[in-house]
Amino acid sequence: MKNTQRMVVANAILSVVLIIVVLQLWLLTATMEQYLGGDTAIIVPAAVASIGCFGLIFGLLYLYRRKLDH
Amino acid sequence: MKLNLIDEKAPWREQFPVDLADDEYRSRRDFTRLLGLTSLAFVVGQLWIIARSFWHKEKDLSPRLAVSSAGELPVGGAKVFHYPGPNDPCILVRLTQDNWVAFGQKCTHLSCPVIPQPEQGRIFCPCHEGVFNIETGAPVSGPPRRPLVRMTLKVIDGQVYATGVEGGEV
Repeated sequence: MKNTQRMVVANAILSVVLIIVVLQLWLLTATMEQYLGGDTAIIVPAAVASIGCFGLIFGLLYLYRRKLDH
Repeated sequence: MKLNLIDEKAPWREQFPVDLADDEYRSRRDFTRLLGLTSLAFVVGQLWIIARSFWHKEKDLSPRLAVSSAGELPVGGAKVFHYPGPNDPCILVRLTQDNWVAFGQKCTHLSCPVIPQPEQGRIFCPCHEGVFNIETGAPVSGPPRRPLVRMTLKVIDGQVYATGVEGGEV
């Protein structure tokens, strides 16, 4: 893969990671809002989703650092 | 004069030792580290909410507090008391002969003290004209979006006791 092509893919991965981080921020604020409103049913699924997002980010960044960004 | 960019020993390298490509590489690496740590911080935040919820459930063995005797308040009457702690103001309202309700006195909008108005079937917040249903504590109009915190009550031998807090903190 050419260097320019590789950087396009790398930037795309970083953009996706950024979107997922923003999603996690939204998830945290929504969960906090529900929790303070007395609804505790949502907090465990939200935490599982957040951990899933973190796993995805970890995988994407691993791919980015090991395979693309030299 | 043409600069020799390949020459590692050029005199200007003392002040500019990092190449542009290398600088960008490091910036990208720092950015990925920032993204990863931010994501981890959000996960920690979610786990903190779970821990806090669990801790409050454990702690929720609230003491029983005698709030009022049945003869003390007439139907439509209200009284302020503090529960579960001395800094947690609450209001007790007698809706009918046998129907008592108690709510935290802090408005769920900006924590102003709310005023019970049983004759109008509402609890009113004068700060921003928020209105809550007096039977359920649910927001009816105005800025509040969340219901008032409700206290569980028990009437034993003509004495009204606060026995717990529904839906979180006061």
